[in-house]
Amino acid sequence: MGRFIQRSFRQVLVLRLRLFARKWDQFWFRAEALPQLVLFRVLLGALLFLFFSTRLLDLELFYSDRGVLPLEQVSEFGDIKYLFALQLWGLIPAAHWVFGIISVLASLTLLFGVFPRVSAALLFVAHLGFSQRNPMLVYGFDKVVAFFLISLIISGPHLSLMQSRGFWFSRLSSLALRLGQIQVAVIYVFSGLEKLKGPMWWRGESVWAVLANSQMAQFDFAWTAHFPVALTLATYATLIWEIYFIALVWRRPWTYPVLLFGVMLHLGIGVAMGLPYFAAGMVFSYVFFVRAEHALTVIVQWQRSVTRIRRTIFFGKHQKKLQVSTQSSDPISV
Amino acid sequence: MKAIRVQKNLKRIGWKAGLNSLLVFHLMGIALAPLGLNYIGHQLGPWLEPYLRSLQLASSWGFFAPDPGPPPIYIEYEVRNLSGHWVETFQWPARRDPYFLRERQIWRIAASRHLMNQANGMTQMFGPHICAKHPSATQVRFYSVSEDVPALLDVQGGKRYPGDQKWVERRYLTTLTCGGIHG
Repeated sequence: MGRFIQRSFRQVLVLRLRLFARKWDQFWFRAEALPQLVLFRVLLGALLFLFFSTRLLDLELFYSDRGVLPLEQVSEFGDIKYLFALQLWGLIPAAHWVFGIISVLASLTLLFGVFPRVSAALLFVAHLGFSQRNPMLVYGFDKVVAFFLISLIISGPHLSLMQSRGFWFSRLSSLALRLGQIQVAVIYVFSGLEKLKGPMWWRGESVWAVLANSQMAQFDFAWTAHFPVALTLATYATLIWEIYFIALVWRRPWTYPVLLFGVMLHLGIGVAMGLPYFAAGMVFSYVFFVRAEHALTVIVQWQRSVTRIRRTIFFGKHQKKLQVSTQSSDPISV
Repeated sequence: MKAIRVQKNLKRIGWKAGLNSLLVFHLMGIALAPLGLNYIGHQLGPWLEPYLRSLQLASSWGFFAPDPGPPPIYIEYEVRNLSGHWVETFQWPARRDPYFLRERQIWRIAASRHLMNQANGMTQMFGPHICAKHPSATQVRFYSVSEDVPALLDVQGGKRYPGDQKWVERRYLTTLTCGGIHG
């Protein structure tokens, strides 16, 4: 009897483990991920191009020895052990310009899907270099970009959706998408839980504290003081949304409402505080949660618009004739 | 033929095992990085730290937490010219954002806060830059100027206004002699 129970228990355990292994494999390696990653690659590439171009304007001030943080002082901001990208600054002459130009060019090639994996890897190294060279400027956007670039290095979604559908390609794409999803969820849950330590969040005053901070707020928000209930509700809604994002975003009926709230929240932060790159970076990461068919629809629509604009520019009057002759032959390539 | 297939399958299994191990390692890293001080994080630190720190994955994810950013704070500095007079006072970053791209002002705000918190932030980092920027300066005196964020009820009642500078604290930081820096 005892042996029978033992054997049954072992069988159940083996079955459970197999089921877990299958589910693990399905979750991490079998998700349909390519359209979302292609869309994300384009969005992130465009955003990073703007971001790194902006950085070019302040390279001397923040990343050269004539600026506010000479290289030998970087160690004052903490242990530089394991900061390998920082070593490059000592080896390359005029490293700030080398990193700056590489980052702008690589974000362009990433945007257009030219050697996307190599572009993402170059961007990652340049990004690490900048972050480690001047840790004073590292804030939310810099932190999330590192994770997003890792996803693109793993997947390397190609120029066309029709290319490279091999065994490893589809599995790595799925892995990249899932890592992106998990990362976004992890960011929100920790950020939400960390807020629970703050008395201002408990008192419902945090949104006011941001809007009334004359150094952080981009515009005059004094008028919002006449809507205290809205400010208090907005504070609690942010808190609840961040903490429950990880639980709700996977459930089909909740996915898009949860993402919509996030879009509004980040749009609000972007406008109020003037943090467009951080806001856009977080909103673009929601592409990881969009259904593959919806991402594909966006790509196809985008491609059609681009083709239409291109035809209008290059062919003008002959546009109609061309449309008739090439209808439904658009390759899906972004 | 069969042997080749078996070999191929084994190779694939090997790759999968390797990939899954890396995945578990990465997941452990991103889950434990924000909890760095707990026992598990401390025990696994020697394994995870090189990976997380070198790739900049060690983040505590606390946007606007535990409370939203510190109140407005600026570096103020006075420049002493060759005739020994304190001639000009500057603020960094400028109180009014002079840039079209706000990000540039945000970087300056972040940098100024870090520099003020560093023991040698003025003498070794910001100071030499300011001396080089003002070639006629012999000395530079640094202050931190902080303001408060007015309470909601005060603004609602018309007693205060964001950025009205009714409460300002000016704290002396240090004085730097520029001579050696100009050479």
